[in-house]
Amino acid sequence: MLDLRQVSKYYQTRTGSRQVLNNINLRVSKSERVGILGRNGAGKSTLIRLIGGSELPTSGTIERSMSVSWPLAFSGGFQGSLTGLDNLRFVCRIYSVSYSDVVPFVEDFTELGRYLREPVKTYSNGMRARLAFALSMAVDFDCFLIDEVLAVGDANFQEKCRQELFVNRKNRAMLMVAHDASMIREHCSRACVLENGVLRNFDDVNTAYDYYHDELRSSNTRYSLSLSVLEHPTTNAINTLLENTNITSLNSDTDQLGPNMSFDNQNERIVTAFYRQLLGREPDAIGLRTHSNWMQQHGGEDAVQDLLKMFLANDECRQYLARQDMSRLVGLSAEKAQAFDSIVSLGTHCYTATFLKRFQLKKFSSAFDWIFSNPSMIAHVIDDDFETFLDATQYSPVPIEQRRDGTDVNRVQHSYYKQAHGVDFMFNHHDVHEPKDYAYLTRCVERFRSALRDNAKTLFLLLRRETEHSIREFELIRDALQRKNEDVSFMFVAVANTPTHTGVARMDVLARDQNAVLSRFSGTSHWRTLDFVDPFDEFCLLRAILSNFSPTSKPN
Amino acid sequence: MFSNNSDTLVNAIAVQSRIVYALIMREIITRYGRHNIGFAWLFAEPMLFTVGVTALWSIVHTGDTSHTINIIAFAVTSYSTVLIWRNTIGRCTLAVEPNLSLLFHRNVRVLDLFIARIILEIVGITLSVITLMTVFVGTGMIPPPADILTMVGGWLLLAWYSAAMGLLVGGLCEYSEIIERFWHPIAYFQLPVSGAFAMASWLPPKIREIVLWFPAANCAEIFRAGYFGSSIKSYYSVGYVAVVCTLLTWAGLAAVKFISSKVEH
Repeated sequence: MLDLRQVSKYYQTRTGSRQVLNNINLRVSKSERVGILGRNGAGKSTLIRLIGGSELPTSGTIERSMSVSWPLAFSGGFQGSLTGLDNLRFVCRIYSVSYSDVVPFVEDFTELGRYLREPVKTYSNGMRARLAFALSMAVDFDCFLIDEVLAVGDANFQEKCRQELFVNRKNRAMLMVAHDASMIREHCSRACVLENGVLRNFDDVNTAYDYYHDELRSSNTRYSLSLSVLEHPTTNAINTLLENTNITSLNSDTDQLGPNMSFDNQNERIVTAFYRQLLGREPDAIGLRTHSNWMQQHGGEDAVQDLLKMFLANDECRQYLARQDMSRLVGLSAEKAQAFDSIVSLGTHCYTATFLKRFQLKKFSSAFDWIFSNPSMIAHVIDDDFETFLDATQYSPVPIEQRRDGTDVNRVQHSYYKQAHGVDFMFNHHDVHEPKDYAYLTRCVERFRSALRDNAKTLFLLLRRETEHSIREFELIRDALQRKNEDVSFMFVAVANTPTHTGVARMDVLARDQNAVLSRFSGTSHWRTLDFVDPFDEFCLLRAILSNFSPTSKPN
Repeated sequence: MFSNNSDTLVNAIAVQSRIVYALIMREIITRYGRHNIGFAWLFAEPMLFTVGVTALWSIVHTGDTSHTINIIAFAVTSYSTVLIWRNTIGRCTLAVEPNLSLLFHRNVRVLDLFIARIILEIVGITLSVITLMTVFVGTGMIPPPADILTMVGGWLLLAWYSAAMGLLVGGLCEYSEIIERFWHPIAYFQLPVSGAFAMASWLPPKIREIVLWFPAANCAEIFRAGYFGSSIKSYYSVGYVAVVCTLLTWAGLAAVKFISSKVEH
């Protein structure tokens, strides 16, 4: 068994101490295969090094009651002037393995022939990889650590590695780390997602995968910057930005960042760093182009400073940074742990899911997270148990020129729900004609169903603009939910159209029935459907929601 | 099998010995290769040094009648003490960087890298001195030693001092490159007070006092006292050297421990 308890890791950088891993808990039992998904810079390699034992955690404990390999496919560790066999001899000595026993295997596996007696510095990358892999297979570990391994070498070599690892050693434990999910989906029984140094455990690979996939798309990444950067947009601040984003290692990630994300030049790197650090998201194609062109034209050191000032003057940036600071101040973690295992969005647009994500309350991707819907449609979908919802014959693609909000959104119409319930561009973000996206949708539906069916502590949440029909909408959805599960917890928050003028946000309960609550929320500022003008309103909203369900004030 | 339950001391020692042995074997091959005389260079190299210096001194001091001891014997017993502290400490500077990748193996620790280099260096020079003395004594060029045990004692004390300084300087170098740049001139200017070029009894009392503040000079005195016996007058304090070495060892281990947690790869 491998047991990590509250493991944290800090590194010293020029601009101070930087947290890479935050309170990680992970347990891998004998012959279990666990995958860890995470973007570059998420802390994967650090985690693997800590587990491998080549570095020590700043705090927390790592217990190994089985032998754990060093991180596989790491192609360093060779002394260039030594021969392949000398390197093997060294590994054999430190792991007390008989050298003569393993030489035949290494010769056979690497197919390096006489090169094994030549210095490693004369090897090509492929040859090094073969040797590295063979060395780690020569020692009989109980648990293998695999760091993006099988991406090297030709198909033949990859097949051999696969055979050795997953067939010949199928009863060994494995911990696999990757930014690309395909290996993990193929070989692991369980997966975790590592984002910003926080590890989330999931029971099965697909749930983790969908969560990770959403994460990549909306990339609500948290960095350690704070509002103080607004006051001092210095070179130091810029260096922090660039360093923390791990931007130099991004190239291998391009396939995941979309077609617009190949870094042609340094400007694009800087712009991307600014987007991630100051807006907490990946740049959109237009933004990336505009800003890097702007930098191209201005040039020089000042351009970076000026760009930073432009970003800092931007409202989205101020909001994002304010949210970071407040998150730290308010420290919501204690509250969120109490009442529910998970909170699931019911639509009716992306805000509910976005809101949950911002406060790290979103545990998995579910059916209504990223689609357009309305109350009558939601009720129908639940009554219908998603049958019409998943009926692929109802899907019709939206031609690009008819997309209202941009070419990457408004993707697919659902004919029935458009006609009968007036929902336009239902599948806004996913092209459900694609088998990949359809499979994602099916899994999301399955998770929603089981959340509703099981008596797990799930809160179904809907944040929606207040209308004169709010009470009817609330009843419609509540009844549909209760027909499936009498004990369901449901909360409908109608966000008022006009802010309060008292300088304090306000939440009123309009209706309450068993575990279903309809509330009216008015912030101190306008709600812009995806955020409030004043980000503090969002905190008030969150606290108001949670206080409704805290153990002391729990209804009935 | 490789053990993960290094919770008993015996186990831990077994693992560490294995690692240090592997590192030493690896170091020998990387440094000397398999060509020509191979690892024999380990002691051939310091031997050449000693022979060269001995020859040089013999020529320079020909006809010098102020001291009545055998100049060859003096050169061998003195210069070898310089070799041991200078080479051992020198090997410990920048010992981590080229071996960083080895730290991927959990049981390989920064301390092991230093220990391996220290052992290798001390063993090499010791072998070279034994060989040289045997040859010189065998051919009658120098008289046999008076008291071998005292020689061994002085030698071990010097080895201890070199190992402790190696850890300290090696650790500090890893912490800051400036230390590494400073170490070489410091080592150079330490030569006059190393006790290698003159016996303490030849020095005026005031200078002698200063020279004997240095552990290396004390060790050289002990080593020579063992070789020449009562025919010379020696000045040294074993207690003083032991106390200094204990403090240096503690500081050296602390420095290595400190940098171990900082090493990133």
